[in-house]
Amino acid sequence: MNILALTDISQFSTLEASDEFDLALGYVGPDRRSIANLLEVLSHTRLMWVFTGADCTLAPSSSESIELMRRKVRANLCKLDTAINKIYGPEVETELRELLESPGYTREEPLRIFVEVSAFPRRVLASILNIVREVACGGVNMRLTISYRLAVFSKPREQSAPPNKRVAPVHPELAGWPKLPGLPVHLIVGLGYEQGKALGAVEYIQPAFVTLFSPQSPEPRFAQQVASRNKPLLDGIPPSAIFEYQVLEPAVQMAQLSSMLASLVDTRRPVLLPFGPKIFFAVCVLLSFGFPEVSVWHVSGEEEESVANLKASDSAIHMSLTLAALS
Amino acid sequence: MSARDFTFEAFNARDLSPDTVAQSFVPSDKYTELTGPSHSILIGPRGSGKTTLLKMLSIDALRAWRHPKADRYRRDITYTGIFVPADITWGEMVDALASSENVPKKCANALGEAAFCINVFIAALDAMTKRVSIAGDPNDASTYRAASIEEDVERLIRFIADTWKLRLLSLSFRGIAQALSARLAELYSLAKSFSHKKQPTMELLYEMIPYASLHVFYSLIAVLKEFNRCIGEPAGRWALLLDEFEVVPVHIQELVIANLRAAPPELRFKVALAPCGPQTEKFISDTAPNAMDDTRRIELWYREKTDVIAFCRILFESRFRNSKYEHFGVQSPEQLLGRTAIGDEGPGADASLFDIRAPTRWGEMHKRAFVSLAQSDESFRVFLADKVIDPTQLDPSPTAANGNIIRKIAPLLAFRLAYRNKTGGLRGRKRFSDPYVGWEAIATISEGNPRWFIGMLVGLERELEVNGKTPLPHAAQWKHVNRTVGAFQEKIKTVAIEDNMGITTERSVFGLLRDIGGALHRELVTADFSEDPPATFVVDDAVSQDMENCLRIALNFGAIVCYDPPDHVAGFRSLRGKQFRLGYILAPAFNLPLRKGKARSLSNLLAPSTVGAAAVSTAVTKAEQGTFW
Repeated sequence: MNILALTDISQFSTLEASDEFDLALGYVGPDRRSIANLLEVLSHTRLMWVFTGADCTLAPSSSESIELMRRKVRANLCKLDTAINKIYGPEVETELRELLESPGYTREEPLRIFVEVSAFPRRVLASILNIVREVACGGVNMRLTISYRLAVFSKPREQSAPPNKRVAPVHPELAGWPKLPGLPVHLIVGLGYEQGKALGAVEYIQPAFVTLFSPQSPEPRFAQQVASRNKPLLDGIPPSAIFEYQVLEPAVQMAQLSSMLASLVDTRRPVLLPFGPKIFFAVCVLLSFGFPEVSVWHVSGEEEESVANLKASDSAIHMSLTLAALS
Repeated sequence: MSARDFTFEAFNARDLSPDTVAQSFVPSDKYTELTGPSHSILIGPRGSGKTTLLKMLSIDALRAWRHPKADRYRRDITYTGIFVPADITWGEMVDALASSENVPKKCANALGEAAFCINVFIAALDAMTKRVSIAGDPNDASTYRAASIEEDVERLIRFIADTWKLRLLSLSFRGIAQALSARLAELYSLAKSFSHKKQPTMELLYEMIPYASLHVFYSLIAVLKEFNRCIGEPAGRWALLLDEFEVVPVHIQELVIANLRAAPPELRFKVALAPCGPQTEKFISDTAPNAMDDTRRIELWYREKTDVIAFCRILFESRFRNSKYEHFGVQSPEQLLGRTAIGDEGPGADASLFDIRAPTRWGEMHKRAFVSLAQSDESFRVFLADKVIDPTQLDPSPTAANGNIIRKIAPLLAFRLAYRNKTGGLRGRKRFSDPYVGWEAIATISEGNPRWFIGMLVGLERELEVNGKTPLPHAAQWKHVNRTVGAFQEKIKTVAIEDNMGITTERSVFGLLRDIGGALHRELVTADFSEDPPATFVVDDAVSQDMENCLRIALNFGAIVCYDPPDHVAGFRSLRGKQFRLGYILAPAFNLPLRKGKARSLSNLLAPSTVGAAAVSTAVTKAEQGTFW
């Protein structure tokens, strides 16, 4: 079993002019969250791939047509003029794997990969990170930087989320494997804005134990909305099993979750279900690389939900870590 | 307050130890039926108590059980239970073993079977170990089914290792357990490695994972027979208790169902399934009608309120020994909660409770209701005239000429008055909670589902501590009923609609239920008065396949209940032509009475001309903030 060691973890709020990357990856949608971070590294990277989805992933809100959203995506892509646009799919996955394994990229020093996570659909982000894992497990040393930017607050609409499409592991390679099949399931849920989604998933999985992680950020209205939209779930969980975490401190999230998972894997089956900020989702996926017993789940259908007209805030965070195969 | 008092971690027997389950277990008729010597398929929605019943056949639970009837059950059960755990996450892990699309289906199935095999062997080893780990004493329940190995133990261990193709580090039961654990870890690595081969074939799979060729049941039976011989019980029987079997990969379900008839007498199967799992769609139709004649189906749902209430009384008694009831002098659920004032009072109802001449809450309420509705509702006046009932001179006693009708329609009047406006349309108002409090109502709303019933009861017990008097105030009761109903609604609103236990639909499950509930509510309140308004529906031929799929998911989650028996021993092959009601747990959400009524075809009930143009709204809507962060 290939297990990755995640070491030399550091976080910083601004990139240094001296930071250089061999490859930068990001996702471009109609909103602006990922653009600022990608622009920041555009001149510091040998190669930048920006992914976009097919048109069907652009579900318009009532005031926006598909055409308007296409225009916004195109405008965002124009800003990243030297980046290479890729429509995400299986061929691109193969291409990315081959690129990372190509002799031109492998060398004595670790390969420096930058991934802007803010706008990625969760399944795509999980696939990308899993490719990074597989390449690292194949013996390529990597220094990975993940980057995230908060959106400016806007109140979510008062409506229930649509039904979950499928509640399942986010990627087959992230389904986990237990030490014993009969161990009780311990579900660790990162809360998000999606009303009732976390509750529905908890009821579906019916874990023996639940721990909730509630996001906190410089904008307190986010946390208020999370609390109000997850009230039935929060009311049903003992306070000792509810933790707050700072969205802009991913290194702390890594340490906190890593310690928790290490204490659970021998006696329980931990399942991570990270709704909410993509940085927390990325942290969960990365941690699962070090704990093969842990599975990372998600609720599919999110890609088909429409993107609000989000604006990027000034709050960004970057976290770097070294990936190396243990065996 | 312990963590177990909280809603989302409570009452899931899957994760309770067998002795914890046994502490509060009170046997029911369903349990008696399950304990019999035949194969059994236990069918019920989630939370209906399947795991509890199966766990109560395990050796640990039977040893720990101290109920007055426990000795009789221990005597009558003729086999040793092997409890094989499963759940949704384990099912997904097994499914993901073949993680590449490159892997042929046959190979993927073989990997799943190898994982299932290890799970079964671990459970069987646990049961065998428990039988020989202590000395038997016929007067001591805690040594129930204890046995001693009369021959060379090492020879038996070697036999097990050879049969299951294990490499042992020590010749002991512990050595076998360690080897099975190692095999579990190894299987994962090898499966991943196999999945990434350029040409993954069965030949390659058997070369890399030789034990993938083991037939789970033949390998198990061989070992159990040898164990039986070694403990001097050559005719000893065993039962494989397969929990949450609908979540394991379909081909493994097929394997088990196919083995039911061919199984030797040494091995019985007790299988827990959802009413509409993949087993019902994929292979029921391929099974010969008489192929499962010796298999008993046990349904874990209740069609009639009286059955629900009787079972809930058993559940209530199960908490008696461990709760605060003695301290507060509570001896019955009626004492804790009072009787339900607005119920379904057909023939055989307790007349003393409904004596309209007596100064009871029921009497006062209904006398006013008859007069008031007669004044405002023309169709009700016509009904009364037709039945020759004078609203000012009511006699609801069972011996009176119209006594049964008066009692039967009284609860309907309360709803009609509460929700009908002056012009005969619907009016919005704060929810009318009287029909949903009191012992009968709370038991009925729970549907006999232990998770829901005990969930409400735990909250009500806390109210008892706070209030200290009985019956508990209606407001306190309603708070806990409403919370349970709300949590169930949230669950149904977000229930997965793609590959949910093998079923996929394009529509929102809650949206469909809401449309049905809304239509029934309108029939109850705004249509011409009827003593028997529609309260159930039949899935007719005009209903689309997608809508039937949606209802199959609802049935698996206990959101609807079928009045007709399943058309196959392993569940519902089709819902067509069958009569359903909404789960009573949804009645408060849709302002419906807790009663059975006549049936309407579903397509007719949902037709815009019948229920209003705004009714059909089950299309899945897009969320606006899904990717907000």
